[in-house]
Amino acid sequence: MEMLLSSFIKNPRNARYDGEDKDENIVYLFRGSFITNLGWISLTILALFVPFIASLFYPVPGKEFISPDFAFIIVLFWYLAVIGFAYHKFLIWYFNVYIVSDKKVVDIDFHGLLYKNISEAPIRNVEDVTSKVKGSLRMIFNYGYVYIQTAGSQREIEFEDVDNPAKVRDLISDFVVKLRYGR
Amino acid sequence: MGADLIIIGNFEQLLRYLFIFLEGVYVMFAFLMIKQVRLMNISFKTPAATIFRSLAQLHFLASVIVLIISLVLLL
Repeated sequence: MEMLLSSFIKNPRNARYDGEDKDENIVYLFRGSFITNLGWISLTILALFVPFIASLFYPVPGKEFISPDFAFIIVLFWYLAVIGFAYHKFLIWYFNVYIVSDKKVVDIDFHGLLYKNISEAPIRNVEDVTSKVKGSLRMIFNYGYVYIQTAGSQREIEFEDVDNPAKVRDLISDFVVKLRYGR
Repeated sequence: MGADLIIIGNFEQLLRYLFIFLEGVYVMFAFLMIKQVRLMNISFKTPAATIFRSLAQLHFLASVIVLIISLVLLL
């Protein structure tokens, strides 16, 4: 359950990513804050009630424009689509992960059905870690962005909407220092 | 009155065809979701991988069943 719903896990057991070395260990696993799911969860709950609300107004006796069979199919399909929507949204949240291992920093991104992006950089190349909280909702719930700048021409790696970005920044910085200087 | 019934009847028939087309599109979406879950499970492996795959397959199966019920009841 911890693995299923947490947005921050230290030393996750039984979790591996594609491209992980045999002697590599995941130290930190981050996801977007659970707060970011509230939008689609609310929408899903509202959508579940739509057929009940519609049934209050339809059918108006003598003014039915679709048959009961058709109405039944629409309701059936509606629930299927709502469940599909919620499941898809959950998957997108669950599999958008940011990994800090003892060798690499990895950002796995999925958006929609047709987009996948994986960025990684050696942890020893990390030069600068910045956190940013922008916007009222992010300020209230303390979630935001962490940017990891690496040496070389590689783009920075972005952790999007993670809980407590200042703490995440601190954890990563400390871990990099520990790896480099052994303290 | 009779003309109204014919118009409403044709309108419903048109809606039925559109709806079945929509369900066909949804079946494709559900199929793509199975593929995506497979890709996700490869990119990031967790103990829940089997559950995610099974749920995606169940969702696809449900979408096919709803399409079949629609074809039987609506056509």
